[in-house]
Amino acid sequence: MRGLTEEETKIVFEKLSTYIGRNIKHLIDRPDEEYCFRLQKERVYYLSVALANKAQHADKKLLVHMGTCFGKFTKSMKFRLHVTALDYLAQFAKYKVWVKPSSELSFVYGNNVLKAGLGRITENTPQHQGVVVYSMSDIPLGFGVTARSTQDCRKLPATDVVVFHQADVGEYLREEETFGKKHKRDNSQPDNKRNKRVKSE
Amino acid sequence: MKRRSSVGSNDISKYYSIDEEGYCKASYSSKNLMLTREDRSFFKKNKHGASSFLFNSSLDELGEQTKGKNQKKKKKELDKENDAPVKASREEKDYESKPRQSKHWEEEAEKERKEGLPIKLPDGSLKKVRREKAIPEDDTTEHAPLSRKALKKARRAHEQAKKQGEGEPEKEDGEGEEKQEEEEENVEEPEVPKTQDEKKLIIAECGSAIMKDPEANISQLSSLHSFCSDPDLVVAKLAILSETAVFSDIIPGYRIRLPTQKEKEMKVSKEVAKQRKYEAAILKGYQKFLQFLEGYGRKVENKAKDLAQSGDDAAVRGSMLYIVVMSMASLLKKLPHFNFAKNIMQSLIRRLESPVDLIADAALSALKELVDQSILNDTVAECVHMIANVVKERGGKVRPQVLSVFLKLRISSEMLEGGKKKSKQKQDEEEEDLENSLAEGHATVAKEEVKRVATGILESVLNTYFRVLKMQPIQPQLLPPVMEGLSRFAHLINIDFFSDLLQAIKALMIAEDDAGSEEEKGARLSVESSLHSVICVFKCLHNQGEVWDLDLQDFYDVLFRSIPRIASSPSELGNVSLLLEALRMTLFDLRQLSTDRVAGFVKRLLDLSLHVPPQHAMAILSLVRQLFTRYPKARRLLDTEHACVGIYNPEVGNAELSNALASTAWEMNLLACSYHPHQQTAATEVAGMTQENTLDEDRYRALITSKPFESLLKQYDSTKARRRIQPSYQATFSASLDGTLREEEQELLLQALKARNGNDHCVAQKNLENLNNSMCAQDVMSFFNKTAGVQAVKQVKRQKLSSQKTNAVIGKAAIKNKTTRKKISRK
Repeated sequence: MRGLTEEETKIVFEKLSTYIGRNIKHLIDRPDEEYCFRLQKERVYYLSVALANKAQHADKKLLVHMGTCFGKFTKSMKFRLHVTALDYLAQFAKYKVWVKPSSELSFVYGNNVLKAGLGRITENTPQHQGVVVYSMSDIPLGFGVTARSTQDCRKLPATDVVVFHQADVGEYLREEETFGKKHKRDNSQPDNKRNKRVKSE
Repeated sequence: MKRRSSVGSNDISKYYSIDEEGYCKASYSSKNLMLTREDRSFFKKNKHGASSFLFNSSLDELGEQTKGKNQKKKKKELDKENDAPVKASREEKDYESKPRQSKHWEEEAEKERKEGLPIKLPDGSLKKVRREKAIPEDDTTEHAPLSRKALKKARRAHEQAKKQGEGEPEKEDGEGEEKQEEEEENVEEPEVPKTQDEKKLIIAECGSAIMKDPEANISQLSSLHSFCSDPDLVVAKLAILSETAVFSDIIPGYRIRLPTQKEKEMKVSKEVAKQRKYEAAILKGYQKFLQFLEGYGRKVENKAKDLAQSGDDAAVRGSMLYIVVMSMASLLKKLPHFNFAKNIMQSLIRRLESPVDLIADAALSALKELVDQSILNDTVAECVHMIANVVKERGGKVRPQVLSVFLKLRISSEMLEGGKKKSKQKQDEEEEDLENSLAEGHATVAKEEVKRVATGILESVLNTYFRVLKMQPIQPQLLPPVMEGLSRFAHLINIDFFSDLLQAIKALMIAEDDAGSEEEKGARLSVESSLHSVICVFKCLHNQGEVWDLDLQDFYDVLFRSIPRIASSPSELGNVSLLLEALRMTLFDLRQLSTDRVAGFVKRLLDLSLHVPPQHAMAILSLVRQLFTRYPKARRLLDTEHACVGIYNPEVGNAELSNALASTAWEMNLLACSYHPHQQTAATEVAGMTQENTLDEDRYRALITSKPFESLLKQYDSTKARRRIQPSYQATFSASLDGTLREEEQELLLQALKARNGNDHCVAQKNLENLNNSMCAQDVMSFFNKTAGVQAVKQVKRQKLSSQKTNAVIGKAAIKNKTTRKKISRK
């Protein structure tokens, strides 16, 4: 387990800022406790410094999980957000999309949000903007990327895609097994190897 | 055809007069006219019996002679001289016949006028008073000297009045006479009236003559008009005002259209010709008058400016420009239908930009009055277009009040809808003709017409608003009226403009988003106008209904940030009701909001309620109650034992980020400890909403907080109540102290009051018990009770007290007083 390098931090923050914009500062400057990002087996965790200090005592190879997992780095050094970050994204989301009850299930099964299912959308959302998807009763369901801006959405036919699906809470059930397995598979790759690659780049 | 002239015999001789400061007065001149007539007849009768001097002097000279307070004295001196031995010589004869006024007399007279009434000093001696300046010889119009012309006119007016009173149809004869007399006047050498009073009289004459029979005496307009440019400003002002009054009375209720050349050539009946001539004369006179006003107004602009710079409001009110503007305003008000209304409006709109505030205000109120009518006609439309043009041309460099004229417009959505169907149905031409002829018979304006006018007006109003919003650089002084107007006409704005409007308003409110800190956002707009803009945007959104559901996060933020701004200064208190209105609009939407957002708003509102007077706090509590009913999840704020992540961040500019649910509504406790009994109950009512206790209808209605906030604001507005009650107390006490009481009783009362001020209620009660005068005791008791609580007053009122019962009640009230005091102190 280690902190993020500058480059990694930049990549993570850029990704986060597509969803929560300037509210990132609320993640870091928390009035209650000091929080930090930690990297463990290619995954980025968000946790309090106190917890991080405690976790430091555990063996790297044996440490499975700590704090909240935000996502992981792919082999090509891209950062991919996991649905586990949804709680924080939903709290600080800048742009939101609400889906109608009829198409809630469709989204939770991993489909895109269509115009017909669009209940409400934050005014002046641009195109290709990360958005958090809510049910009409304001329960966060997942997140995605808008296919159209708010203005364009207005004139769309009902079957057109409005939000591309990225992650949803259904994954907790659908990928219950792979959630853990992925973890295991990732364990096979030693941490120092990845570090070398970063250096070579 | 209607004519507006309705001349009563009473207002015949009414004319305007202006005193030295320039205030307008109306006075009646008929009395003086009568007097002079009587005088004349008296002298005619007694011609032979009069002294030699009287015999020699002509009637007109008499007019000049018989004036002033020193008339008698002069006569005496004259008599003395006549008695003295006459050095009769022929040369002396012609000046003998002239009135005698030697320098010596004048000095004497002046001396006398300098002398005031003697004053008796306390020691009994008399003191003579001498003025520095002699009082003017004739300080009242009663002794006004009359020229020959004036006298003639006076006689004529009197005769005419007599005729009218008798109702004899001798009109034609009268006209004949008049013509003759006019000719006579023309023949006479032009005798220019010299004194102010003479001129005043002539103005009155002309005015009353025209009013009496406008068709016959229309030619007198020009003589009235000639006084408008009189070098004597007072006379000129009078003339302008009287001409204004005359025109507003004689001008008919329709627009005059002059006959074309073709029409002129046609042969017409005598009556029509007469009517045409009359109309042409009126129109010409009116035009001339307006042109004169405009020209004169321009001439005296600088003078008014100088006066305004000296800061003398009264002087500005008396200035020529003010008179000119006021008369234009009254002409526009009374004759908006008539020709040249457009020109008057143009002139008034130009005056809106006057550097003199009073003048601009006068013009503004005239225009507002014009616009503020239920029927939209072309004149209103014209006015709106003109103002819109002014704003356009000046690039927004106008006074904000100019735009506030639009706020007076009464456009409803029905006006814009009406008439469309009808025009499609009308296919048959014959039917159309028939309908048209029927429509002429109706007094109402056709719907199509209304729609056309209303759309035109709305278009130019909204265009102006958008222009101001998008103006670069921004004109911050214009934004408040624009925002207010937008929120007023929001329901009429087309959905297609909505996104544009959103962008424009947003650009104004959140321009500093990137640069400044969060608290600085939206600081550019005043609280009031940002609230107006929020209301406007949400009204527009409502219009669109379910079709397009947007989440206006940024506007919620604006609203959220404006709450502490209201709390920060007492001058913003008036905006509380506007804020609550905006909140009701935004939070009680059809859509469900997140609990975080609602809780954030509730928390901030409660914070605000600690900073405002009780009536506002109660209004806020009422809104909070509604929020808790609508969003039961937010009631977690009232629960002290719920668990939550993170801590409350009160300073953040976004309701959701504030994490209000991590906090509790501790403000409720403070509110419940208020000195205001009703606020206490209101706070406990809301605080008791933790459990899901279902109230039946009656019990719910009995709650203070179940009332809408507007009625609470009104009902508990203590500022007005205090103003109402206090003078009555003073009256009561002064009356009872002024001698209705005996001396010992007064002493007792004063002691009681003193004791009460020192919170010593037992002493106060004892003193009052000793007071046998039940009336007074009752008054004092009610005073005490009012301060203790409103209910006690009601009790006193309910019970009609006999003098014996008074003591018992006094005791009760004192106990009540004590207990309430205790309650308060305990808290």
